[in-house]
Amino acid sequence: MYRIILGLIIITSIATFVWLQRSDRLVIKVIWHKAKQLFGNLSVRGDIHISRFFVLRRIFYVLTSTLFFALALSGFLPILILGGHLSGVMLIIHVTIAPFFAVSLMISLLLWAHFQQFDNEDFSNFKKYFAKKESVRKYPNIRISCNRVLFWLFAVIALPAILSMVISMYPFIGTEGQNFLLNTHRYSVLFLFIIYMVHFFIYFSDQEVAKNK
Amino acid sequence: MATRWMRMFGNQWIGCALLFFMFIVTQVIAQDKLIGDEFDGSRTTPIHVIRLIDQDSSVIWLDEQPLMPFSTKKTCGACHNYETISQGWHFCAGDSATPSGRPGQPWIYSDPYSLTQIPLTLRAWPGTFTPQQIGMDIFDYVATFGRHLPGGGIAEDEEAQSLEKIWRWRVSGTAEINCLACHDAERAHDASQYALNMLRQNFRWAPTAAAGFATVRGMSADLPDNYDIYAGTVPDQPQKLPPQVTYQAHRFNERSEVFFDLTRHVPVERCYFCHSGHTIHPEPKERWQHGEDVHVKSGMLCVDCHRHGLDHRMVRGYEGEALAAGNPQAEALTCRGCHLGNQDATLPPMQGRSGAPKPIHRGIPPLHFDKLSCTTCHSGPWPERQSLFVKTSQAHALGLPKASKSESALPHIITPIYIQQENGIIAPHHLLWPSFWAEFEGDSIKPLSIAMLNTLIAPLVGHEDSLAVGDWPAVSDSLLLSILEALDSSAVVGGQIAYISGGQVHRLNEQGKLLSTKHAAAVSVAWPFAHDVRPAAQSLGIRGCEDCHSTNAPFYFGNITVDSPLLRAAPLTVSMTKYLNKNKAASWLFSFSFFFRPWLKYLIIFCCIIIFALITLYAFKGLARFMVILSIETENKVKRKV
Repeated sequence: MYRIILGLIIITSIATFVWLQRSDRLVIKVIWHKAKQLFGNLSVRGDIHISRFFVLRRIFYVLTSTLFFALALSGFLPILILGGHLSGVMLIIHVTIAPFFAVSLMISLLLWAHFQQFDNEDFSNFKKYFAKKESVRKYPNIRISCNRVLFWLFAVIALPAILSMVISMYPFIGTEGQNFLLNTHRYSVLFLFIIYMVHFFIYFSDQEVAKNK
Repeated sequence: MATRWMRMFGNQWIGCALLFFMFIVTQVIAQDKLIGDEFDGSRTTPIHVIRLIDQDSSVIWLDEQPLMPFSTKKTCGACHNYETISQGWHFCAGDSATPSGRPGQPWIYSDPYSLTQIPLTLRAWPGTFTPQQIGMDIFDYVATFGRHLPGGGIAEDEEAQSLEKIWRWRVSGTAEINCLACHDAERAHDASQYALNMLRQNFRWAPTAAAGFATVRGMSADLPDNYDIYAGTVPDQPQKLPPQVTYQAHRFNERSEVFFDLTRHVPVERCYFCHSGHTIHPEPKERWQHGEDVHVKSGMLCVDCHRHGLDHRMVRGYEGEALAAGNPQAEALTCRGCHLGNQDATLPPMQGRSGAPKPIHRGIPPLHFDKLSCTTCHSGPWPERQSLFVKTSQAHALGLPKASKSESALPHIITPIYIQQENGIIAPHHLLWPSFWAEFEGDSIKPLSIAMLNTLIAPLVGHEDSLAVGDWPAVSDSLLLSILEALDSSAVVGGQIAYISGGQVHRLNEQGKLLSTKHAAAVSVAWPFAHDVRPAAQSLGIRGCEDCHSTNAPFYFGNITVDSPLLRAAPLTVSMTKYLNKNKAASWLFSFSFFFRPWLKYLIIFCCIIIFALITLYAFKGLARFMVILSIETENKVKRKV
């Protein structure tokens, strides 16, 4: 069942990527440009005071994303291809990356939390958006608000995803509980993946920029 | 006239025809279902006070001479369908119609004098040879291994008997199924007497000898082929004692009936005679220090799990047997079946049989239940850094008066070896490194016959000190070289001779030097075991993950002895990872991660606490802001109204 859901989500992600690209909302050049922006424009903006935390935020954003992607790859691929449980070399890779991801995520959240807290504008953004007063295209600020929602969702769902595995490593819980924890891990990670992909599409799909490029 | 004729003869003819038809029908039915074949619902054990019948279908009377041994086929077969019983797992080896099933322990022909230990079986198990391949015909096979064979099947199949031995079969008789081997609950039942009589080629007398009310003396092996069993003596050789039965007269009643203390609840001791295993520890243990199967100690019998119907197709208890043997009931009699039950809620629950507790398996990731059999953690001896040797009843003739008590006696069976099976599941195995002489035929090999071994090789090996205890002699390269040279130059053998041992084929190259190479025929032979089952408190993992996942855990990194008499092979070992089908470096790396895993767990928990605190903090902040927004909105509305 999980394999099917996972497969569907990955197919949907790929299909969305292709669709966005075909409709010129997601252009590889734009992705590259935005990816470079994360670090590249730091040197350009030499005249502006850039705090150390600004650099750290960017570094940990990229690091956490990379580690999450590596975890998803090492966790999903064997299940998708072989089915069953994760084992062997992939398990070694997965469990080796996991603690680094937890630390990186914690630091990222600490660095980004203040900037991702909701303000009055988010409230009005959503209010306007849901009242259908503005479309997303015409009202790009909704992206920022959406990213904030995704940020906090990611933070909240990351907790059961991480804790479910840590708890299962202690001799507290029996087989049924272990299965429950494993499923909790699997499905919460799936949610995290969806959040990550939505964030990816929101962050990188920008029709205006794409047109200019 | 016709009516008169009908009145005179017709009714009688019709009556006769009807009677004849009924007789035929009853005979056919009687052949299918005998009185003891059908369960009437009563759970009491029927009392067996019955007449003894010999192989000639004659009732045994004590005043007759010569007294004949009773035939189980005729005595037990009078009420139980012998043909159906003959299909049983214990009796069907060699029957091509019966699936060979999961590999079990093969018979092992071992002889230190010819440097041989070779696995033999009549079932199609990988890595084994048939007795015929080493020149052992069915008679020799029964005479050699009959000590722990319950008879039946090929041991009484006249078509399988070779013409050369046809007269020997007449003297020894066929080895019928020894029903008493399992079902005799009498304390005086002596299985070792059965074994001795089989070794003496007294096949016909063996079941009688084991029964508690009879004694058998004499030896068929000593008798000439033309001996008449009804004569009582050998005319030319009066010093030779033919097999003779003496029954305890007080056990017979006035109708020449004997009480058999038979049971379906086969006592454990009956099974132990053929299925005992004795692990040899580096520091010898006293008898009382050895463990015993937790099920047996809790009062269960082997047959509580290893059940069967009239056909005696015993449930072996391994997972997948239900499919392999076409017996759905077998699923309920596996470890999982009893302790965990079925996952399908639409079926009646099958777990908890005989009060089997449901294991909790605290802290064990579910992956383990997909990758490991229950026996991996719960069965056999606790794994040690260096593999151990085990002696078994069938391989070492345990339970016989003259069984070698030497710990190094051949064959050398190594245990516990954790092997990934074809289905990907890891299970503990016993392992044997075959050592035998063979002739090359192209790339395939043909083992030399026992006769050749005895005449050609045994004299060359000589009498080393170790031979006295049944261990390998130490064979140097020069000795091996001289034997191979002698055999290659011998006209008796056509092809090139090689000695297979220690996982390699040793032979002479073109320059006449010793060449050791790997070959498919030289690989080790292994078979899974499930007993003794250790209690949960002594199972692998009870002390934590490090029981298996540490850099020196025997489970992963145990050294398996490569057994061989050759000095050039010693002290060769193989890592357990080879049999687990794992990369040793990757396994080491994974195990090493457990060294600092506790700290990582604490670190991750710390991270989670911080993340939780952060979320809570901002959740409250967000709530506060939301309330401010709400209040502003309300104020604005009020202002607009005003």
